[in-house]
Amino acid sequence: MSDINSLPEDIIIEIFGNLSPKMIKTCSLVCKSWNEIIANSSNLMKNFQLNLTNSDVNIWIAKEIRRNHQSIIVKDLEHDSLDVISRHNLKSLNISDAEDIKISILIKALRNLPALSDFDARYAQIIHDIPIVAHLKKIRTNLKKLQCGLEIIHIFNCSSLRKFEVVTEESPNSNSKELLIDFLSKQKDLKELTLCDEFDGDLFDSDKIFKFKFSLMKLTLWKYTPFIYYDIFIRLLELQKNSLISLEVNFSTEPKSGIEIILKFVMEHLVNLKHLNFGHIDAELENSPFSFRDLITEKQVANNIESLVFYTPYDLDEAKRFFKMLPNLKRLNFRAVHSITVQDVHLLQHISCITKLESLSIISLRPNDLNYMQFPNLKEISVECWDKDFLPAFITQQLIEYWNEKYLCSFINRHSGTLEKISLPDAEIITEVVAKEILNCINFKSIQLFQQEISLRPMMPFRGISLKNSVTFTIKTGFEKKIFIFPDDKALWNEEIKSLR
Amino acid sequence: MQTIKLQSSDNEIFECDLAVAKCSATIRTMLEDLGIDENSEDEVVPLPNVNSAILRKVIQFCTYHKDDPVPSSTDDDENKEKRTDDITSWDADFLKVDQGTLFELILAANYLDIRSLLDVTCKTVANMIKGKTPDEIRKTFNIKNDFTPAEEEQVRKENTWCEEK
Repeated sequence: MSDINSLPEDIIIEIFGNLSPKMIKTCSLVCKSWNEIIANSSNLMKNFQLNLTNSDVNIWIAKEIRRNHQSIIVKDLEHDSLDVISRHNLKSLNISDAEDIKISILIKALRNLPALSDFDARYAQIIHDIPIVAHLKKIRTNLKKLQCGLEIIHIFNCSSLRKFEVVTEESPNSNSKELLIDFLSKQKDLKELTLCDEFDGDLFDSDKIFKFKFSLMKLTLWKYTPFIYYDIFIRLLELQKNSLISLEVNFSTEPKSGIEIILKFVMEHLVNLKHLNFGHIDAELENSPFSFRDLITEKQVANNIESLVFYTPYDLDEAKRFFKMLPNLKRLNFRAVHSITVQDVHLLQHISCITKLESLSIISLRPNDLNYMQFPNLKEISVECWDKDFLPAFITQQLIEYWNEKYLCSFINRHSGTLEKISLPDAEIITEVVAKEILNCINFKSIQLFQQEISLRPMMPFRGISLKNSVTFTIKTGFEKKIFIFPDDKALWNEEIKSLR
Repeated sequence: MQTIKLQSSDNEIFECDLAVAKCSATIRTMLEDLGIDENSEDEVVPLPNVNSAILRKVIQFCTYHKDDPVPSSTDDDENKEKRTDDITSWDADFLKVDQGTLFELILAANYLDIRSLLDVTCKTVANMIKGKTPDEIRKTFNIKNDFTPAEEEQVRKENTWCEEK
């Protein structure tokens, strides 16, 4: 009679290939031969990336050579560990938030990584131990994805980027702005661009953006100070108006007039736009809500938007008309934090007419809204919980009061044929009745609960569950999360539930 | 209907439909490339790695599945989430066998290169692993824990470095 370890290695790998990464880890603890098989299989290991602090690096080196990881994150990087990494055939390197990286070491390491295609150095603290002079031999790379600060892009000789994110914390001088435009002008294949401006001023302030040869599919902007030259940004949008499918703009202090001009341009020119994410995180606007009135014009061409994220405080009446212009909306995330008022109820009644809606994410719901709402295709409902200190007390109170069992159950029941994912704010919402209703959803795949601390207690109503499909349970605080996948983690779950009693 | 004779490792002869036998890529290759004549009455395909009990099960599986559509190449997509809860009830019943038989079926499916049988048997073993602790897995498969406590601790530590993507 044969036993499992008489099977050839490639079949064991095939069996493990059916397991989740977490379960693969469990298997590595069963016996030495399984641990070896897993560690040596680049096919199984590609589900993981190494996440190291410097103290672990030395122990890891020997293993790493065997394991042949293709992706590494290194925190608290020192020059020694960079030296080590440079011997590897790495595809992905992440040194974001690393401190005290000498630019000389970084250049040397990057020169030795010819296979690197993904480099993330956002918010890494770079020490300029050698001056970056004009005649410095630049690093030839075939990077596909680069995320870094403005100050290091001029060490790269690269024209292969598909994704680029530039973070600018301190005011750059005009020379580095020119360098950025030169660098971008070389990227013919660039599809995704993210600009994160945390300084006083604009990254693009000259007409030289006309030199850009790329056709972006996705543009993301984080802007912490008001535009000085928003006409330049509009020109950038105009250059990309036929190719842009996804646009994300997040402002914090942009005045209302600026937002309206940009949004109006977007709606009237970006003919292929499918995803629009528009956010404003400044409470100042609360007193004079953003108006949709000027947006709704006959000239509107962006009528195929499928996904809309809107954080900006809004004027309700016009919001209704705005939604009527978007018949293909599938995902709506409407979270105007500061403007939650009784009026929301009208809006919610209104969006019930968006029949194609598959995913709804919202911050406030009242029992009556639940009664009105019926979306024939709804797969995902998410009610977000913000930090309770951040929310006005009356809203926190509302969230708890209004999500009462009866309304919630009838809502879930009405959508039990389509609902796959449920995300709820306060853990107290889940009672045994609610849990039972959730488990009745035919395609139920995942539930996520937010709470103050990581504990399984709110999942207690689900104990003793028997499920046919694989289901993910997630418990989340602001920074941490704990995930259980059924049936993979059943043993772990039972252990934790037992400890709660 | 055209038939073919297959000979197991213990010299038993099985006569089965040619279409059924051709579920096995190995047999297909033997017929097509190695010049075994499909039409010859006396020609017997020897399968020295499969015994009669297992070959009988394999023929049963292939007879049931012979008209299944050939899976499209998109099934090889590595990024696709693998499911193990899609085993049909016929397959589940068919695989209600002892572990030894299950592993021998895997070996036979591998040798005969029958993708659908290999997939469903591997999934069945994966389902025996899912949701268990290392110790429960050892008990299920009668595996000895050959780690020293220090080695086990080291693996645990290394596991904490690996983040699921």
